[in-house]
Amino acid sequence: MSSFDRTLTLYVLTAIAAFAATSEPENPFQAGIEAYQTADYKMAKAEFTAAVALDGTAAAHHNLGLVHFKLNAPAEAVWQLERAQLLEPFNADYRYKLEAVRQELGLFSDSTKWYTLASAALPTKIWLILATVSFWLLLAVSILPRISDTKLSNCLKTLSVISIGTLIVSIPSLWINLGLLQTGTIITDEAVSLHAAPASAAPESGTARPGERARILDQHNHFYEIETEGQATGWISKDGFRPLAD
Amino acid sequence: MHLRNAFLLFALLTSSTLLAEIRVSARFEPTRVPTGSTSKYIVEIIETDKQTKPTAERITSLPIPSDGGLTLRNGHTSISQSTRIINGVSEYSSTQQLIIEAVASTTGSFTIPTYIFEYKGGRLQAPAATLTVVERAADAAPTVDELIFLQANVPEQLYVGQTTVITLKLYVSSSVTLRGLNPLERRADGFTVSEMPAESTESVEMVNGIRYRVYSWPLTITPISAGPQDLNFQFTLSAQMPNQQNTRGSPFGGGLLDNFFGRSERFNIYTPPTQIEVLALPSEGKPENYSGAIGQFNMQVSADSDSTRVEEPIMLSLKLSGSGNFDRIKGPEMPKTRGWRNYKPESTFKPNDLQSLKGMKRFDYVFIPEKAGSLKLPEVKFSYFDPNTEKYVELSAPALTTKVAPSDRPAGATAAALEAEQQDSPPAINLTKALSPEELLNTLDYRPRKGRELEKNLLSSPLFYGLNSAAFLALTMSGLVIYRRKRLHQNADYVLAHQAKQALKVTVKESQSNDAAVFYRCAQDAIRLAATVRIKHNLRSADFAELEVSFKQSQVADEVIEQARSLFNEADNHRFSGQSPSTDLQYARTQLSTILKAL
Repeated sequence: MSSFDRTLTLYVLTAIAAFAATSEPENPFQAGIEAYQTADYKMAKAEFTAAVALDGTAAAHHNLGLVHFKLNAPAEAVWQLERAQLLEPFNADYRYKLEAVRQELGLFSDSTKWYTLASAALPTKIWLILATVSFWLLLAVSILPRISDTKLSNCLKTLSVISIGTLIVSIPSLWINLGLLQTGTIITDEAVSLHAAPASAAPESGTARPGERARILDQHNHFYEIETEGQATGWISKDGFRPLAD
Repeated sequence: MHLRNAFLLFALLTSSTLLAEIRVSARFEPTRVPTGSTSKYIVEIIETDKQTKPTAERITSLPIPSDGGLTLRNGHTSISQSTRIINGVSEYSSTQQLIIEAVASTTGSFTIPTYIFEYKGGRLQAPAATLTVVERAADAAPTVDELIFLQANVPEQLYVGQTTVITLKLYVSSSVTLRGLNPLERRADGFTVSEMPAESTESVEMVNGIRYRVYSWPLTITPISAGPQDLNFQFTLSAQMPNQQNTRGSPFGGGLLDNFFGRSERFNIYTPPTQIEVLALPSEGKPENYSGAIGQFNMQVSADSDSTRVEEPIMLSLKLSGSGNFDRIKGPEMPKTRGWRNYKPESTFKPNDLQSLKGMKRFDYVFIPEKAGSLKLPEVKFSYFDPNTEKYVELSAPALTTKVAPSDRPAGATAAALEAEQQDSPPAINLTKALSPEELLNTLDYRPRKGRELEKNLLSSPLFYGLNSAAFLALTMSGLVIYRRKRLHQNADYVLAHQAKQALKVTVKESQSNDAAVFYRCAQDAIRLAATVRIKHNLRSADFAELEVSFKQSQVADEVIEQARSLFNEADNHRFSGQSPSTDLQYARTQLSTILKAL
């Protein structure tokens, strides 16, 4: 093969690669941003929904929340922003927007408690590893010196104190973080009735407001039993309530 | 079988029916009365039977042909039974009387003709009866109906749901002494009627030259169904009539005590038959929000404040004043308004009259703003039907505007933004620009980051189980190692046995050699080491005599001891006799294996 042929082949391959690169489907996240900027909110919603399904980033959830808000679906916006904040708990921008939309829905602004913020300092998995390791370390420090009939050295005493401290911090944090995954929000844009039993025909036991946070107590068939932040308790259809961990 | 039973039952019933005799009579008592006086029309049904006591079937109505000038009213039934025994033969009879009051307003002869009615599945014929009404004599005493009568002033026409006041008046002649008055009875299926007040107002009226004491009670009536509706009232009262005072006279003439000891009679006093034409409310022009108010009303709407904060409630009051059926007026439904949420109203009513038909009804609605800004409360509309003009009237009040400030509990970020806005800007050139809340809210996140992973079932994940299993194993192994080390340091017997066990393993391995000299040496060493492990006493250099003593002390079987002795002898023979190295060792190996297993 002559040098001319080799050069020609190189050009052809480069052109094919460039064409292939440009003909790739556009990133839905970026497409959603472009649609949002041109006020095509329905298109933006479709693109950000695809972005959420693709990689589920906090930014995709956040942007989808804003699109829902623009489309006059504030309850769905609240869920997306709650989810975004769960993925990035220290993002002040997300928190501000979440509180603003909640206020738009007439829900009290609820400043995050210090212990919730503290528990969000580490991912749940890390808290779990810390709690497990510190538990077994504490057990080892308690048992092994007794087996060998030796006194606890200063080093082991320090290790014991550290293990106890880590346990005290990690177990509540783990509990709070796992509890957050057992919450959700009302996703209907109108107030929805809670029922005394998991059936639509059951007597009403309370009302849940759009966007209101609620803790999942139980579930049965197509119903969740929840306790809302307004202290109302009852069963709600899965169409009207979505857990944050969904 | 069934057919036979049915036949017998039929025969029994037929025979009992044939045996019973039924007679019907009809008459007036008295048959001749002056105008205005009451006679009784009596229909009597007499059943006689010689076998069983007949049972009367109560009659509730009769198809009496109407006679134009005769008014029949206040019918009731009376049933009696009797038994007669003549010459030892019993005869049972049952008598049912239907007694109806008959009044004629004009003179003449009034005949109720023959008519047929059904009784016990058969047809009976009531004979004709005639009442003669003659002119009242000029000096005749007034009748009971002239001395006591009841009247109610009712309108001719009403609308369904329209509440109105009527007055019930009991006229009692001054010559009659009223002794007692039972509770009012009413026949008004098409109306709701208020309870009769306990106290009546008393006045005096002259009617046809007779002086009456008049007892009046105001009542409210409300029609509940359309069409011509009967409205009749009835009192049962006891009174002493003037002629009774005279009949009780004494040879010394009437006295003061006559008024106290005179005999009272019970009378049923009725209002004249009254019918009211009840009209349905017209559907034409009926407003959508109409909820049943009938009368004349005015409306006033006000709010307790024109400014508030998010989530701080204000009260919208609707006042309805005028006259009408206030008890049927409900607070109008407030339309859902964006930015507000509201609750069902609470109502209060202040009547201006005893019948609660005039007054002021107030509905208080609680509205809670859900967002800040200048918000409009919903427009209030109320409609009613005016029976005077026979048209619907719709009242409306314009929407009130309320200024809603942000909540005094703002979100953290909002507060920070407000603080940032309030900070002093640089004096010369303002290089920074604080975003408005709306701009902040509408800004997208342009940098997608993965964020944290949400693991719902972390406590049942392989990570959790693996971590705990590994930690458990590590802790157990560490404990075992430490325990073993501790025994090696502290227990000489354990150390001796441990070392002997290690040496035994090596020796047994070496005894696999085919060289007889090596085998027998290793076999002897192995038996000594095994004995050391078992007895935990150092026998590594013991001869067989010492071993035998130790074996016997530790109760090793004699057979094993013999085999050990044989093996040791064989080894000595081999060592000192100089046999070739290729001697067959199979038997000796089996012996050694047996001995080691036994030890």
